[in-house]
Amino acid sequence: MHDVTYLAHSFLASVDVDGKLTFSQDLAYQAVGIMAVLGSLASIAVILSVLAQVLNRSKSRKSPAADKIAEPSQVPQVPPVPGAPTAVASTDAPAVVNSSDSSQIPPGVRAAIAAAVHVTLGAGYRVLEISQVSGDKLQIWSMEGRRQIFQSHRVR
Amino acid sequence: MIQDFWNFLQLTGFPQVTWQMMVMWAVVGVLLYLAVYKGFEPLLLVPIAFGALLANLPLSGLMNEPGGPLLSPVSGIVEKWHVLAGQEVERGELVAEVRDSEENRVVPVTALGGGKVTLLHSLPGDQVNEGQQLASFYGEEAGGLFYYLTRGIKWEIFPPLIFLGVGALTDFGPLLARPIVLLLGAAAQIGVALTFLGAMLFGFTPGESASVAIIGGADGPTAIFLSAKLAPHLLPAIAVAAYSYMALVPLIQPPIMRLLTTKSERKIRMKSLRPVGKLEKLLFVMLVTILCILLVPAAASLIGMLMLGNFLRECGVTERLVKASQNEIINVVTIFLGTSVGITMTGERFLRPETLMIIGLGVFAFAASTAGGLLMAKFLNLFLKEKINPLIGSAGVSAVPMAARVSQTEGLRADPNNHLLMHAMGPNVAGVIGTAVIAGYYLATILVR
Repeated sequence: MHDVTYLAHSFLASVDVDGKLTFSQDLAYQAVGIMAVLGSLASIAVILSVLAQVLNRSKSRKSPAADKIAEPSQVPQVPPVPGAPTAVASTDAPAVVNSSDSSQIPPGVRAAIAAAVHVTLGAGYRVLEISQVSGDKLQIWSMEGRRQIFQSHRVR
Repeated sequence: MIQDFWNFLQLTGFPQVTWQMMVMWAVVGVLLYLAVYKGFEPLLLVPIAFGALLANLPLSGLMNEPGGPLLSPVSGIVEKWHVLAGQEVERGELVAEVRDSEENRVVPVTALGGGKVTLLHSLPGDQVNEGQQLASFYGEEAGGLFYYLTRGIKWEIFPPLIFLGVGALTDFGPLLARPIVLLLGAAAQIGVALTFLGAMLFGFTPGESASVAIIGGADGPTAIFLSAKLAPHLLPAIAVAAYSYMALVPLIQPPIMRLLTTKSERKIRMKSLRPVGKLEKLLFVMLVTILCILLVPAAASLIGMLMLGNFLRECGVTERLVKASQNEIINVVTIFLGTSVGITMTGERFLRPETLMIIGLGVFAFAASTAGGLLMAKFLNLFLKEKINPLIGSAGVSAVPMAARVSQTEGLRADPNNHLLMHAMGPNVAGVIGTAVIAGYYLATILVR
């Protein structure tokens, strides 16, 4: 590794845009480049993993049951048609309610949601999770209203 | 009267048409056919093709340079002056001759625009360097339209602005949900490195090799950004190759994906992605901006604008700026970028053996990048408890979202109930960052004379 670094370093110091390289110099140069890319993205991956754990821990400290999801068996299920795609949970799903809130969703509401899914998406879909909108997502409708107002006016 | 008509014809562009221009008209026709009827990246190929058509129509004056100081085109000795200080000259008029020291040939110096030579800064027999001012010049003649538009590429303005729009359009949620896929985007850059090696073996210089190799990153703005700096004479061929191959991703990738993966690997089901909060997305933007720019400052404009666009999107309080970035800004800049690339596609530049080599190396670059991502996924599976479906590794090339769709299609082929699209978006957007980083590495380490 030390020799490769030395070769790459001397290469970096000596090459110009029309320079001629030996194959081993070129190989060393590329190796340093790939190490730079892998190293930087790996560092970002490690920091993001740590960050995710810290944020998840602080979230669970604020609301201990917040990471429990609605049981799939509590919602009406339509058996999937073979070959038909199944619904996939969105990565932008709203904050999950705690178990006490999910049990407060009346069965009629769950049935209405399942019916809406059936009408819009068709047969062969199964509702995996129902979560109550909370936190930042509550601002969606107000943001939409602001957007419509801005679009309806000419901004000077 | 016939003589008058003949004299008029001499003033038109018809006598200036060359065979190279006519061949380029045919090339333009092919590009427009591919873009319009086959849907090959039409947003870029249509402006590029049209710009190429304009470049190959003579006497248009679209690329005329404005009158400016007379600069020496080569390093050498001033052979002769054809004008005196205070003399009026016209655009294209021969004003001086410089003997090139390296090649021992006389190079003419012509006026870039109409005006007056005000002061001579060198005399016959003086040694001058390339770019050295030979005489002061006063001219009020403006340059052609595309002279000014191409400054957007030469001064590296357009690609970062495109990246602003890309950042505003990109959701890094799938990447944040499983950060390890960043390594798949990094591994795809191995194809770029291998292509660099291959290009050097073919006789390209390091600057040219880097510009050709970056095609493997499947990122148009980055390819244009790098080529404009390191190999501007290859920019048209590289841009056409890059955007054409991006459209061919559904043809190039699947055979490689099937070759390098087993049936059981293709059936691997991945756990649903966890929800990613707003704070996490905003901190990610800051982290990437600071880390990547500290590592490769040369990529600051690309990374910075990409992350600015994404921050505008994720903060949720700059709705109008996001919409402008996603629509008006990126659309307008796309038109200017495409036509500015196309206007450099003259027959003399494009119809060369290097163009064919670039097209061949471009395919290799794409294939090698695809393989790099796939193999990294298989390598990670040796250590991971929750396996990664290696098909998403091929999405490490930053052809967003085409490469992710190809992973989805191949995943469904192996298992009709296995949806990989959102999982593949993670390495897909990681590839954008990886390509920008390696481009910054080349920019920082390859010196330009």
